Amino acid sequence: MVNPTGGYGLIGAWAVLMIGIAYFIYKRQHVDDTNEFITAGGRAQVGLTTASFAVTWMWAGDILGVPEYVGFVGVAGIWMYAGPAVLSSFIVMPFALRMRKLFPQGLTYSEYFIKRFNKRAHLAVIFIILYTMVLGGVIQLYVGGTVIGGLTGIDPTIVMALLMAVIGIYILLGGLWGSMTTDFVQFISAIVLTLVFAPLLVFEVGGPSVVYQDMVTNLGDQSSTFLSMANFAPIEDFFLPYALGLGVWGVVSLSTWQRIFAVRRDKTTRFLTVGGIGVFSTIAMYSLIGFVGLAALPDVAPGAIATEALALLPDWATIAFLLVALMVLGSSTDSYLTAIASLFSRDIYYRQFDSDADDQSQLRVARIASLAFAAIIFLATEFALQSSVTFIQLLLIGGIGSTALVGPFALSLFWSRTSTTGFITGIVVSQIVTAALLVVSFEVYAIPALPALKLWEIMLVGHLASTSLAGVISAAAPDDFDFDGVASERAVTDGGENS
Amino acid sequence: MMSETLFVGMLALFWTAEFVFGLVVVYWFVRQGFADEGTTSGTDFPLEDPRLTKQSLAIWGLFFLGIALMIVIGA
Repeated sequence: MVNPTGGYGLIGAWAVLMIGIAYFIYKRQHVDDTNEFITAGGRAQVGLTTASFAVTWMWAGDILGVPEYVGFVGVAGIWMYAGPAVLSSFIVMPFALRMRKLFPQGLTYSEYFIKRFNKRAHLAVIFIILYTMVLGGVIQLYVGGTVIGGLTGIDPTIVMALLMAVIGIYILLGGLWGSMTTDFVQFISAIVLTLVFAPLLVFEVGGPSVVYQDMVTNLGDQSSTFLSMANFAPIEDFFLPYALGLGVWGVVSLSTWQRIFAVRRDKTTRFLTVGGIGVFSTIAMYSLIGFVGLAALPDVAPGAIATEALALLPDWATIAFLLVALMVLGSSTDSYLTAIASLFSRDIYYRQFDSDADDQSQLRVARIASLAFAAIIFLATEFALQSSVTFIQLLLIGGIGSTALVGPFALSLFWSRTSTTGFITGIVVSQIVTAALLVVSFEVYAIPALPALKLWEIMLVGHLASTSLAGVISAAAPDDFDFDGVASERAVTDGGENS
Repeated sequence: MMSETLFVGMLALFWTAEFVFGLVVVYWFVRQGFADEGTTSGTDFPLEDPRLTKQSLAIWGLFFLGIALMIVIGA
């Protein structure tokens, strides 16, 4: 454990480093127009984008979540935890290739829905993206504030306020360039954490063979289940809800789309492939913390394995670990904040309210939104911490947002007959139904005639409702959209466009 | 239930995969830098070559095969 003074020192060092890097990239890449702020000009190289994409998917919660999964499920917890994140990178590929062909001029992917449908459809999409991105930021800050506050003895509210202030400042400066460049440093830190500190922890308790033998001794009759990759029994609770929800999060997440639009068009699938598969290896390395917990801390509950096991590290390693946790937390939170600022500037301010707004006005709004939404994410996280909302519930609420949009989005991209009415109806009805089912499942309210479904069933209902409604209504009263018409339009960042 | 040898081998495999992943990304960054400075707009680049897409799909295929094998062998 680090004392509060040391904790403030570490947060201060992290703040100076991140803001310094953002200032460097702000000057180097001339981040003085909307295109550079939102998509890094669409010419970022593969290495930078892959690192940024991967570290955005390495959530601060993974450090706690993966050992917890191992504590509940055993070795099969590795693929159950990593599966949704990896699936997301794979599933988004056809969407990415199609969008980069149809809508090369895009700054945010949500702008496509104005071209494809109309402003009402665009509003429905904005609603989903906005709340899932704010939730994404809240989830990161929720875990980060708790972990860093717990390790330093600083009040989590103060930790969260400091973190969001720093992240708000460096995103205000560099936009997506700032996010991706700090992500690269954060990526290196996360890789060092897994390559050095996770094995160090294993050797602190005697090495891999001792860990195995102690696990077998401690687990007794349960060894054969916990040490089997084919332990499918917990799949309904530990894999399916997240595979169906978070497994398609990448398709909905504006932070993923910003990186898709940022990378060179001719390298789109390469960064998604290497980044997505790389996330699996990182999550697999976090499982070492869980194995050490099962071997050396048999009486500790799965939810506390990570913090208890990490306490076995020497003091210097705990300090280094804390710094890395700050890095991992910052990488995901800054990505969501950049996405929200971009969405607010382009989709809400420019597309919905003032289509005459010039480029500098949009940039100004994006920068103001960086700070404003940093404050909103902080307040929402503080609210979540004070209320009885759990981390898992936040994740699942984000998941139902994904289930509402993915199917109709796919139809809109690949089927010219997808209609505006079908698209909007699919999204709205799916969202209402899954929200009601989730309320019943969380036992917040009992709604007559609505059964308490399992979580994965709720996600499946979301997909089926959104996709089938969009499909059936479109088939009954189809549009006939000309995809080539969108692709031939020029890129517009300045005002005056008729949209 | 996996044996001790398989367990230790699995940890070594994870470590190697993570090391290679980090190395590839850092190598790309060192070679390529931040951005293609000779380009003013991302739309200047052509669409992805279908061969690259097929290569990516092949890598994904091998990855999913590896996961399936991991589950079967580690059962």
